[in-house]
Amino acid sequence: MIIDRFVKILSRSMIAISIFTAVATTHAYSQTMHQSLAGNALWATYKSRFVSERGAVVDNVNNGISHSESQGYGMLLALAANDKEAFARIYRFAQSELSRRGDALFAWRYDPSKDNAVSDTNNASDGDLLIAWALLEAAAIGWNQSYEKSGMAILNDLKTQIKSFASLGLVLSPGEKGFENEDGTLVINPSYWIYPAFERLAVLTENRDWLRLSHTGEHIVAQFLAKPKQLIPDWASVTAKSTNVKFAEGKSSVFGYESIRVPLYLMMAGKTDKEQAFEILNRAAGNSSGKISRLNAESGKPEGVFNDHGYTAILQLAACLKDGTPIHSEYATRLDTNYYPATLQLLALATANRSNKKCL
Amino acid sequence: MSVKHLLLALSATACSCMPGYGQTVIYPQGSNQAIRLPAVNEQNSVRPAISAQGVMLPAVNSNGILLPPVTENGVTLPLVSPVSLPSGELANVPDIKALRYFAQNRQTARFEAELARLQKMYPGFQLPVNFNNPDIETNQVFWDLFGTGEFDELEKLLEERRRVDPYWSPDPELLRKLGFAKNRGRLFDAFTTSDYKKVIEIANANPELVSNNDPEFIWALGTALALSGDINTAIETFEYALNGNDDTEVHAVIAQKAARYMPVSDAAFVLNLTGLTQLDAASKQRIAIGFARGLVIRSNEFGVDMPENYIDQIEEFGRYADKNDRFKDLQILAWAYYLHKNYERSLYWFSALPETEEFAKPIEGIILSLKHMERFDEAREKAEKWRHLSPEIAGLYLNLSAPSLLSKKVQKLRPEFLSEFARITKNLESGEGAEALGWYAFNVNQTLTADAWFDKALAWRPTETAAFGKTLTAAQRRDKDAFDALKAQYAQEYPSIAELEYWKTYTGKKWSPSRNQTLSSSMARANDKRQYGKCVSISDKLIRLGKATANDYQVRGWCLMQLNRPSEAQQAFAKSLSSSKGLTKAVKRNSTYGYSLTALQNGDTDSALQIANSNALSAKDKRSLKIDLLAKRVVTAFRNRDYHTSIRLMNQRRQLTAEPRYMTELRGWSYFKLRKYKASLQVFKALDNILSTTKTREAVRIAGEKVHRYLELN
Repeated sequence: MIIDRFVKILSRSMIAISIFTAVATTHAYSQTMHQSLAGNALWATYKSRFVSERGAVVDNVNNGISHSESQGYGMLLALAANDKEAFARIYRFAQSELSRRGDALFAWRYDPSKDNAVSDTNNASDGDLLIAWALLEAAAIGWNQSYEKSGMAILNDLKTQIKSFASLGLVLSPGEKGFENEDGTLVINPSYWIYPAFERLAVLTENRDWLRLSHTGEHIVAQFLAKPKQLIPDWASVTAKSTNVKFAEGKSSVFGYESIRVPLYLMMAGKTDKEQAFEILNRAAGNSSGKISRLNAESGKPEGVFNDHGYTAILQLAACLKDGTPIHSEYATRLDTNYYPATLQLLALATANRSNKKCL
Repeated sequence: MSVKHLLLALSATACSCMPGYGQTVIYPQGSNQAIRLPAVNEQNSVRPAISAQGVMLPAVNSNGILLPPVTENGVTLPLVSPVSLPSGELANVPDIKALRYFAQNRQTARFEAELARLQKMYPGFQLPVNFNNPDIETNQVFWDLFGTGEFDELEKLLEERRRVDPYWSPDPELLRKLGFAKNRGRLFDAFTTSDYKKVIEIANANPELVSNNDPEFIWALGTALALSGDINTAIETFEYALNGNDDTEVHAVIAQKAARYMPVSDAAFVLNLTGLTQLDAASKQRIAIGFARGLVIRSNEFGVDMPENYIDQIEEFGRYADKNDRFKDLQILAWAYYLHKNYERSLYWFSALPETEEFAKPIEGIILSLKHMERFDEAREKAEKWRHLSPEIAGLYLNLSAPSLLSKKVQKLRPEFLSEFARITKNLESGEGAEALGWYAFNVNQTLTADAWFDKALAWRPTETAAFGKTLTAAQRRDKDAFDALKAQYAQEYPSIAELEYWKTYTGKKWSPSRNQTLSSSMARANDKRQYGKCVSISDKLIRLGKATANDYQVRGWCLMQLNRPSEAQQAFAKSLSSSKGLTKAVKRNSTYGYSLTALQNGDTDSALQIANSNALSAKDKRSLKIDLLAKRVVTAFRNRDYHTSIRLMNQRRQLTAEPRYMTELRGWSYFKLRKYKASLQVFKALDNILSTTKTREAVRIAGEKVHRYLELN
């Protein structure tokens, strides 16, 4: 009944109203990832290469380990490909092998070559976020109602890893242990800001705090881009008293394998500032090679090149979103042979598919 | 809880509001209800007294209770009357609705019958005086009172009117507006006293207050929410206002409030909602400058650094201030840079201000910036030039000149310099200056002079090095008794003195103060660095150890004041004044000043007034206390409707300092109440020109109407 719905909306908090109205009018591809790879043959290739029979999503470059992050990516891609069976299998593996902490979060790494495959029970908040996001999306399309409870339990246990800094905003700790220094400095990983997840979680959980996390992420990106030549480092640090983000002492300040995801996530979300993504890629791929470079994020000095095919798909996506250049068929039809770039490639293709620019 | 506390409490704590699934309502802290902002087109939905078919006056039933208004087609509308009048007097009053109906419809027989019935039921019943013409009312009088904000008087008058004529009922629109205005007033009262919880409670309980056409309300509510830690609702509030208002000024102020009170990333989100990207260049600049101003104020207010990704806008804010002679803005910008140790920029912006006697603080800023940049000669020259301007600059002059007295290789100093240095030292009762003079005298073997200056140093600012100098001088003077007594007095507290031995020869050796820190100096430094929490905890320790001197209690008082804990601060100042340890003239004067300020803050104006009129304070402190006192008295006089006095006090205050906006508003209304309509209109117009808001526009309208009427009548 329309009236019932109207009354219900009025009786909800203004936050809920805002999400109801603001998110409803968001760009089309801020909607669910579901179906965005439906019918794409590359998903079958991905499964055959990286997903084991038991559901482990295997990082073939890193001695065949799996991690909460790879399981989360696997679930998200299965959702995009509308592959209910694979989704359940990948989740089951995460549950059976990485659910070792006594809470709803996951141990970050599974190494089948070791007697004790899970030697460290610390979590990685991005892995937990990916799994929770995928579960809530799957519940929302009716795959399994128990996913909703499981997803919410993860987010609930992740609460203590979301810190509120009066100067800066909400900040995501990369994991439970090892990131907070005695002086109150928190080491963060800018690529754990999964913007498309935050947007969807705001809707799925009716909580705007997820959008506040997005605000902080975009501020962090803006901070690093404020100086010419600078880029987003893999690791950074924040303190409660400062509005400024710094390079993390003793951690990589390279724009590297972690932070290459930052522009991708910015492009995957609906409401984020795409110019930030374009600027990052402009700085990192301003050379003539047509590939993204690994750079010292502070000085801009090159430290290597992301040669794998999958990484370049991110550049292709940016070109398409920016000025409509279609993605080259090479990237749309041939999957990278390594787990990590292949994953990013599929995420880029799923995003391209959802955009209205006819990228594919 | 103070704002500062709140910010501290918020920092580095785990967020407790994730993930919220299934909780469709997110409540502001400390409230039981969420604030609901009406959609843009729903503003009038709270005015049910006006039906599509026209307005009917509310009736009073036989129990004297206001009935819901009824439209002509008989539909009963919900009564929204935030103010109800006392009804006790109206009990057993006959219901004459039917009588009126028959009269209006000329149904004479029925009228007669009904009249007879009523007279039988209520012996002595007479038709009310205005029975034939009930619409002739004196509503204008009430509206006038409403227009001038005399709500208490209006209520009193309405009550009297009802007592005289139980059949009369006020214009429901007036009652609605009166209720609205009173609630709005209560909300602003709560806001003025920083009672943010109450602000939110009032907004929750009175959703009709929420309007994007009332920017001042939005600023107050948004600020209260942000400072209570409910950032999400604060964002929603600002977003709501921005969506419904095209005024660039309103957007600029919202951007400023967000930057001032919200975490920077959330403020940046609000900034992007201002429509910054779609506007023309001038509007964009206005909003960006508003945002930058908020960041700069916040930096001064809460000690937060300025975000580097907005430095361009912040510099633009400075250039704008420079171009438009906005000296206050230039100063806050310079201090913000100074606080965050960017001395090059602080020097630049302090130097943008006129270097004249009116700008003692910026000159002090220039000297401090130069000092931190280690450009000591320039700093000293500047301090020397302006040393008469303020005690702070004189103190800097001593601080910057002291090294020449303290250098290990004794320098021959000009007698004029030394006597000027000594004069200022005595004037300021500067421990630092006295100590420097003590060591200089010691090193040129004037032991008696050294002893005298160390005495002064110990009285004005007791430090380990002063005590050390005093003890050492006793040894040098071969005064064993004095030496033993001093050693006994200080050895336990200061290890350097415990190590001194009488028989050792110290003459010939050149001495200068060491850098040993005492708890007292750590506390003073914490205060200087604006680490007020730390300052209070060090003072706790000193008090526990029984070592707190009058000066320590005083520093504690200032730190507590900064933490917005005025009653404890008042106690600390009282302790300082009653302390037997180290209550020098300077300490006494400053503690008295602190005591008077806290007394004022705690509502004890009598004590404050007494102090202001006594000779216990320095001229400068006296002046600043007088300004605060006058402000309090202006508000009290205005509330007591003593408008002549309020204007007189405002004039007095204006001679001492610039008038803040809220007081200029009071000035306008005071003229208005005194029927000086032209003057009142002039004041409101001036305010409206600076920043046009609903409130100022309404004031201009009201005063304008009066001026118009006045001219017509004359």
